[in-house]
Amino acid sequence: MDIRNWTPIRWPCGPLEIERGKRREGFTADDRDALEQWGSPRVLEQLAGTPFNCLVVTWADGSPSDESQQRSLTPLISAARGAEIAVVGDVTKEADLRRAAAAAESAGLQALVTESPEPLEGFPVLRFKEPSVADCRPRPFLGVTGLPWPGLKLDATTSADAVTGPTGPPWIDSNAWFVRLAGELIRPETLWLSYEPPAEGLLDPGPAYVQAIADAEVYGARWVVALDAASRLDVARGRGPGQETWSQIVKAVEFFGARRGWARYRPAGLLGVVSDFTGPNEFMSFEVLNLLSRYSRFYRAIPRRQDQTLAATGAALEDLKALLYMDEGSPGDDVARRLYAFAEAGGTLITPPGWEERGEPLPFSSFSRFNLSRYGQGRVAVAREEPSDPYRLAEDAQALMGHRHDLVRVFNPGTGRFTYSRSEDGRSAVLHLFPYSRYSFETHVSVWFRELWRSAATWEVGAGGPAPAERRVTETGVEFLLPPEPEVMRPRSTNSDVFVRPSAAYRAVEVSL
Amino acid sequence: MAGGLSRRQFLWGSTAAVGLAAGRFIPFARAATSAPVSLARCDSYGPELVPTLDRMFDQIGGLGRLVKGRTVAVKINLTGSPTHRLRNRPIELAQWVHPRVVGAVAHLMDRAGARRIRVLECPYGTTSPLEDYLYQAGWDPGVILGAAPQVELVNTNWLGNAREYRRFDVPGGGLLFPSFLLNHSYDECDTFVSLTKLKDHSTTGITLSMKNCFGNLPTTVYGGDVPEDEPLEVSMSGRGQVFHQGSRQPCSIAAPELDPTSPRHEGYRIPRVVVDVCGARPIDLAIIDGIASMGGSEGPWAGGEGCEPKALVAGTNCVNTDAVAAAVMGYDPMASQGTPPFDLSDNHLELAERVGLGTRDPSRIEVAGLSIPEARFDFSPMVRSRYPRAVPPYPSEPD
Repeated sequence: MDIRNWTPIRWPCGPLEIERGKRREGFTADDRDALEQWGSPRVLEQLAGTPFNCLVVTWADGSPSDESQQRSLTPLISAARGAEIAVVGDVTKEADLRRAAAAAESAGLQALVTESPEPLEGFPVLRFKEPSVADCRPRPFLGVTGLPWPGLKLDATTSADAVTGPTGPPWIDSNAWFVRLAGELIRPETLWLSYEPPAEGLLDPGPAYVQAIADAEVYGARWVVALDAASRLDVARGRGPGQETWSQIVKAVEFFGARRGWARYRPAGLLGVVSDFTGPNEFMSFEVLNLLSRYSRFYRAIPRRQDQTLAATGAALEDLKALLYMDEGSPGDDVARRLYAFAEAGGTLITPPGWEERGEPLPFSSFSRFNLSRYGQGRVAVAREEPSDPYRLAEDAQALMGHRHDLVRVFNPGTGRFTYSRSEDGRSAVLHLFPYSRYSFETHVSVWFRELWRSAATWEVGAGGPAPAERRVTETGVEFLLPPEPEVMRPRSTNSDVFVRPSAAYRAVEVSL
Repeated sequence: MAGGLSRRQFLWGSTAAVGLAAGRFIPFARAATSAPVSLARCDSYGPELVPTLDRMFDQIGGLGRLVKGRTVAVKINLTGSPTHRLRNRPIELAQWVHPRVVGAVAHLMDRAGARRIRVLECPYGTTSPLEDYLYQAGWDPGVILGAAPQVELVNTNWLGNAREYRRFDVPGGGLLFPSFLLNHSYDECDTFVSLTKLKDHSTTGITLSMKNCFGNLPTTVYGGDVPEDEPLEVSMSGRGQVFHQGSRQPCSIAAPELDPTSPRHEGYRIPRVVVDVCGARPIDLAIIDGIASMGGSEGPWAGGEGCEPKALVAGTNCVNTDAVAAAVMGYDPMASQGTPPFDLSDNHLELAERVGLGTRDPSRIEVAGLSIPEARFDFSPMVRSRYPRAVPPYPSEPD
């Protein structure tokens, strides 16, 4: 089997999982029941007719229970093989990788997944590691772990209130920024992401899973799907709300599986973030990318190579309106020359303190943290102090660049996020919308594009065919009115009941010439 | 505490006081309790807009006497987020004043000899340039900036390029607050204009030229997340805690409210804040865009529906102007709390009248152009489209 075609799902079962569960606070009889039932080949029937064709099972953690775990999986592995489902074993860093591989080979596993750096030859190993681009060597597979659950972050104490971020709106986690960065720098053929549903639960599980899948898929990554314990139990028992959650997961995976071409579209960028994204520059640059992505900014990572050159051709900078240089220390002559040339040609160059304030100083601006000067056709903005707050820096960079160049504007986005990518030939594009506020007073969403797209189709997971969007030509572009959803009565927390519109968990607007 | 002053009082007392107390130029209409109000029909934001406004300004005494050789500040109404629409209705046809009205007013002011025109607003939760905020709404700021040679867009939500906020004392001591700190642009102008929309408001019943000035207050000082002792450099929150709920006091460089034991109900507080603000920074010219608007509420977050009253209102006394505009909307500006549209709050026109800002009695106001019945467009049916609110009953203030 070709790993590029694998659609993985975490399949927790067996004595090792039960031992781990017992060590966890709040481990219930139902949790145990779910783990026991998922060890049964019977539950594999749930995968029939779905895209899932790869089980990720717990294989070894270096404990005495490893052997009993592996023995217990024999019927499951056998049934999976019969159903043409690959099985890969998850091995922790503490386990002996060689020993685990030998056992895997004899049990008929297709590969191991591990965070262990231990070298191993003779058996396929899919390596996972924390988000990093320190090692940029191209490789066929990249697994990333240590990622947050993408979506609205809920208060751990109430599981009902959204945690707010520094701006007041609810805090949204997303891994899309790293998927983009890894795609740009490492270019793996297959990129798997590992994250688990939050322990405090999900307020609205079906849509939350759809968003978690979409967060990875829109840029071509695959989430190793992991169900929460309650949903797993429902799936095993064949009843309960987890069945509907499972159905939505399957539909979401099918949806993106049928649209893998979208992941090859190129994200539109107006702000270039220049960094080597490693070492002392990693934290700040990662956070800025994360925040730019979270706030739906049009950005592109511009890698600075170790040889002090930019890993971007002149053409790659041409469509950018601003460049944000992130790194500590001198950029090197070549990089500095290209960045100042970018400003001179009409762009905005944003730098840390200490850079030359070229051109004519602008005495006053709304940007009190920068010395701003007009240089050639563009501007140079030199920070007065070393930026320490990535949120502030990301917002400053957007404000310095401004919104006049926006390529897309989404009206009535609610608490949402969007990303916009265009096809290589420029004849089509897709806007991915993540409306995190599930119930909105106003979901008459409309989208303005600077490019004069002729038609738009709106896609939703599980909604069948596309819905057409009404087109309106404006003075500056074209606007599409997305079909609104029906009103339902829903109680508000702070006021009386009102009619609101349930938003889809994810929407795609596919536009074309 | 020293010499009978708390540190807080000392701090806000040290901020530069301006306005009436500073003996600045006061256009004569400000002191009048009644000044003419012009009403006009205007079917669209097309070519008829400039001549219609021109005629209206003539009917209230001409623009020249207000703006010639002067710096004019025009506070516009851009409430809420720039991407929040009433269904698919462009924001300028619902809750925001239309940019072409702003441009037309700037053009006419320039023609009347204005030296400099500053267009002001405290946009929601941001200190970014106002121009950039307009782009986010899909507007072309050039419609405003290109309307006359000396037009600026100023975000007044923060300190801006001044060294300190300017203190504006409320004449008579204030109903809720004795003074306010504002961006320097509200001080560095000879004529202050409130340019707003003809709309309902889910708390105060109507939001016209006076209520528009609630938005003069910078959220870097009056925002809910501002530290107790110093203003924020960058705005990130609204004014709900300080003004609507009264759950906290403003940052200590600003005066606290006069009586922290007064009702915390927004129906009591907001009308008084509005009257205090309009007393502290008086309006010299009120202009209301009712060509296309929304009814039921002040913005889509509170429900409502689009409408086309096709009316413009202008006057030099804000209370007179708002009273006539309320009458055009089908409301009785003489109504008190408990009577629509003041179901949930005191009538700020009544409070303003009491403190001497102007009469709200349409029978005492000269109306030029159309009569009120001719211009009338009934807003009350649209209140049904307002989202229901579970606001506690608000008792009338005992006289």
